[in-house]
Amino acid sequence: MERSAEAYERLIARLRETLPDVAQQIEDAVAEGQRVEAVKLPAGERLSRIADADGLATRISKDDLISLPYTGDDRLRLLLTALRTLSHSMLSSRETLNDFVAERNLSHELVFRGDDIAAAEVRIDAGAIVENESSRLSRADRELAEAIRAIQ
Amino acid sequence: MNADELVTAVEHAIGALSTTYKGSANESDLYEAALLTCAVAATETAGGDVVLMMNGLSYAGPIIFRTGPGNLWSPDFTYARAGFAGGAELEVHLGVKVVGASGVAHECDIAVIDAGECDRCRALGVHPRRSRVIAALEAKHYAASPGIGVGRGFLGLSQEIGGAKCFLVFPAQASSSLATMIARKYPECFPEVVPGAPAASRLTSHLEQRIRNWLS
Repeated sequence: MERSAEAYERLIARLRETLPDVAQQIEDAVAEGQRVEAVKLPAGERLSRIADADGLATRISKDDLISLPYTGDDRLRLLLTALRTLSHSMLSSRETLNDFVAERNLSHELVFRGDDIAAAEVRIDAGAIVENESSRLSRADRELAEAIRAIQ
Repeated sequence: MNADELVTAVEHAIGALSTTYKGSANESDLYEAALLTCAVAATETAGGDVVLMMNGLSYAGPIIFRTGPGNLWSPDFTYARAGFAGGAELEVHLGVKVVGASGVAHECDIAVIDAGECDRCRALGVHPRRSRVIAALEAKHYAASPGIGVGRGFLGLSQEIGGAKCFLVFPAQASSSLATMIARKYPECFPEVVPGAPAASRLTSHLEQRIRNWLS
């Protein structure tokens, strides 16, 4: 896609404001680059690297590894895929927990707290979060799926 | 769809996600709790008769999940206990510490443990020993692949607890680096585990087999 690098930068900036921990995960993955076995590079690229080695290396070994930076399209695809993963995971976790308590005729209220009695506890109504949030998450998922199709 | 249209659409989706997102810690807690239900499902499929417990008694109140590393003997947390034909029993816990090979206690996000060991731990106020752990899940609620640093940490944990018992679980696709690092070792990596998705079923089947092996 044209201007995919620009689209990625705009979206990662937005994520830094709204979902900073998710932005950090994506940026860390982008920074790590793609692991590529050097022997799998195109022949021309391999020969070019050997030529650039000025006699210090005459061949590429099967153990040689490089990290290739992601292209603009790759970064954008990685970001969109990550957001789609997030929407799926959020929706599925909620639905799974709601189903679990419903099947056992348990209270829909889930309590999360630490061992420390003084620590704050978080209470979540499993039924309410599915009812209130699933349509929003599903809609987000559809928008992200369409965006991913647009860059393929 | 051009780049501007894509950005607009995705910003809209980000807005929807951010209004629903409960924060990194809470979303991780929800994910780990959902994975606990996978471990419970594996226990049932292996033939276990599962009961939810609290403080040694059958429990039907609001489920109380432990967040962060905790002590198995701490009161007032929900766990699952399963009995099998032949008398074997196990428990499934969230966020308890287990004594590793080095003599140091490590948190296991989801731990499946011999029930007799759990009774002993509650009686003595000690952490469960790694020899009595049947399976341990390390959950990472990451939208993008965890980095190789997470892989290194997980391999360290698996050395402490026992390689074949440990599973690294996350909802994202695994990077080639992470997948390659773990593939050649005993512990297993389960990427793309979203509850209800095929990868979650593979994880549940794997846990079921661990339990069946323990029963044999």
